[in-house]
Amino acid sequence: MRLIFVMLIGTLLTACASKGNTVDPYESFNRKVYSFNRAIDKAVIKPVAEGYKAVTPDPVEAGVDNFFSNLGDIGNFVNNLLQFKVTGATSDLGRFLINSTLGLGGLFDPASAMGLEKHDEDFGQTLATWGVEPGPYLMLPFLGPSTLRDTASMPADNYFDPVSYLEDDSAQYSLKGIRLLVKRAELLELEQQIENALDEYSFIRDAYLQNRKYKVYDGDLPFEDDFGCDPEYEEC
Amino acid sequence: MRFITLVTLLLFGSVAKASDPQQLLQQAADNIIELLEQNKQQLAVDETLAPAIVRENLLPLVDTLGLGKRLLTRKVWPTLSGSQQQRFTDAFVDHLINTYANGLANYDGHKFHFIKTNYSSSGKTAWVYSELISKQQERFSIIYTLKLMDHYPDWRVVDVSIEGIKILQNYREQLKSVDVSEGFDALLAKIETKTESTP
Repeated sequence: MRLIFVMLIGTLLTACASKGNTVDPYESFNRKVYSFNRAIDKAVIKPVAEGYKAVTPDPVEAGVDNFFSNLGDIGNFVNNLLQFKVTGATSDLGRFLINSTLGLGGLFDPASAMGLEKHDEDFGQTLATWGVEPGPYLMLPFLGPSTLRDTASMPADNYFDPVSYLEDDSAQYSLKGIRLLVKRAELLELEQQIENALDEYSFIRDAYLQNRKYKVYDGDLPFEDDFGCDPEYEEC
Repeated sequence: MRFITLVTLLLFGSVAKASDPQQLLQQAADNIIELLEQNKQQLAVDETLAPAIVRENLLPLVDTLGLGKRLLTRKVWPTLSGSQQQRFTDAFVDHLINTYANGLANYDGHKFHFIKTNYSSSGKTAWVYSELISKQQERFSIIYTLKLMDHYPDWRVVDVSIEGIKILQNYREQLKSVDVSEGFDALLAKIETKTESTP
């Protein structure tokens, strides 16, 4: 299903490519998708996320966050292995084992208290460490900002996701729906920043692309544009 | 020879007089946290308090003189008249103050942890690495870029990177699309509207 969706997007995009912007050649199409996403978000998703935040007591919210975070450690483990980061992978495996047992099925996070660091890996980052460029920026309907590389990596992320292996379809989609809602609720704090932006679309595109690069480098970005001289500000 | 010695002394003299950039930021962060803690109840009812705290404690550390040219880039900046440049700088400073004040109004026991400072080979650019730690122990990386410039007596912040997102680049991207499509007056009006709509 997701594959058909990705192929459909690909076909639509080839019809709308513009030569002006190399990072975002489909900007006019992407902007329309963004407007659609924002409208759906404001009408349905955001109010539900706000409702979830309002009615859920903080400890329960933390428990739900921990539960999904624990399942995510499987993907972190596989991707860290694929990126040859053995220490990171060992920590992810340790976290999953400790939090699934001592943490009562992942509802609590004793592993962090034991000093096992939480990672945030996915197959898009793995492809990046293998040298795959991000490709054009894409705004996906319902799913939000992405790039061609990150979109193409979605089936692999799904493959590493334990929720995908639930036999009961309704349970599987309910859990995935709740997970998206939790993610949206986490982003509510950024709402004011988005509202404040001079151009919401450019704000989100640039924030997404810069943050993805930061994640690929695990927060240790090289200062290749050494600010000793800023060519946009002065002659270098 | 005497001239070179004099110039060298002056250069090193000016560098020696400057503060340690990390201490400068640490001092500002400590002052702000103290003010926020002291005025917790007042912050909830008085919308003007947080912007006043930012204006007094953070703005003096920012390169406001070069702000407009940095944001609009050296190609666009000279195309504006003197009064347009001033109006843009004033409007953007207000916008920045309100944006950051809005963040401060949500202050909930966060802590600033300064980690290290790296310098460029010239010694005139510094990157101060820090973390913002929430009550739930979530950590957010914040890297400040400061420069030592002739027209300031001390270091000035020229960029901030939050979780890898450089604010200067982000604003440049936003300004590119607004500026090109709508022109200067529309851009200024947009900045002012966005500033006014900030709660």
